[in-house]
Amino acid sequence: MPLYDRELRIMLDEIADPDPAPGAGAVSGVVIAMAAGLIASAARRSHDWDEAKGVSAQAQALRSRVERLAEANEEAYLAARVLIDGASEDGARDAELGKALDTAAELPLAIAECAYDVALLGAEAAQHAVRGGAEDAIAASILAEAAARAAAGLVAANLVSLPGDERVQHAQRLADAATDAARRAAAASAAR
Amino acid sequence: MSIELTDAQLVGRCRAGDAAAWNELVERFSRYVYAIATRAYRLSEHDAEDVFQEVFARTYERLGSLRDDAAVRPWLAQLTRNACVDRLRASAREQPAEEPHAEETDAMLERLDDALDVHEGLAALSGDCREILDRFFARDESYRVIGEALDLPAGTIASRISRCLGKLREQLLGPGTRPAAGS
Repeated sequence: MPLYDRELRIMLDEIADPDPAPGAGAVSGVVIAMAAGLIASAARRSHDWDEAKGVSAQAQALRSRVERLAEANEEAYLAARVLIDGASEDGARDAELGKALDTAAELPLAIAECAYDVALLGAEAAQHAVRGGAEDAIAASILAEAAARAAAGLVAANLVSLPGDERVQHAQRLADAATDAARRAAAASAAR
Repeated sequence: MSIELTDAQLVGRCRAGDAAAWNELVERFSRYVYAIATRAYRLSEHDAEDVFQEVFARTYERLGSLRDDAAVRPWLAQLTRNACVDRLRASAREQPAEEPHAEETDAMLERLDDALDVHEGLAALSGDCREILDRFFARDESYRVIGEALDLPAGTIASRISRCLGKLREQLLGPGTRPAAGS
């Protein structure tokens, strides 16, 4: 069953079971989608904010985007696992395995980028949303920051055989930028 | 032919025998007709092509019977639905097949109408707004990528998108709808 069609309790059980999937990539995606949902909710409660509908629409679009990425990431992760498990038996699979790991790095990178966007949007909402909504927006920014950092770690882990790959630094920069956004979110709300 | 002609103005020019207006009418509604055939009625590419030809041939013959020029889109939708049903029934005589449920086709038509409204609303926006909305919602570009492409700070993109969405909403729902936030 697709990741986002599962009941929450079932998904939590699946995350906790010894099977490696759903793993950190899927969990990061779910956290980002939830954070985007918090921002949409905060915006929809903020009737005096001119840009609330626009922010809500963007949050929903980011949620939909990260759902697609997380689903694709889980499939890529499972495909890479199958190849890794068989690699020691079949040397001819090296090229295929390299390609699978490359894909398995690209998707967490895209998830990190999405996390940064959610952290940025959370900072915007923290500045303008109603009381209660602003606090949700700060929490969303912080959750997105954590997910960005987790996704950046996955990029590094999947590219460990390619030292110096620029994507590792790029993912790290995205995580750092998400941290800045989350700090701005907290500061913006404190200043109101 | 000006792209800003309303549907009613365009139909008026077609009635007056303006050949360029006919081309514009076909251009404006060709994707709509084709989408109804392929997405709402799931016709094959070949059958959809036939429906497309038939619908615009009928439009040419019967445009005089259209009572309200502004209602050309729903009128075309009905012509297309009839042509699709005829095509499905003709095919079913050769090879029985299930017709799509009316609720499904209605829902798909509603979505196509919404998409066409948005398309028309976008066409009325500034190039800057069209570009930023297209990049974010259609191309799934991140704020960072959009900012780099447009030479703008990533932190300002969300606000720009919101303002452009507000303008699009005004286009679709009329002036005065922008400040109402919330739901």
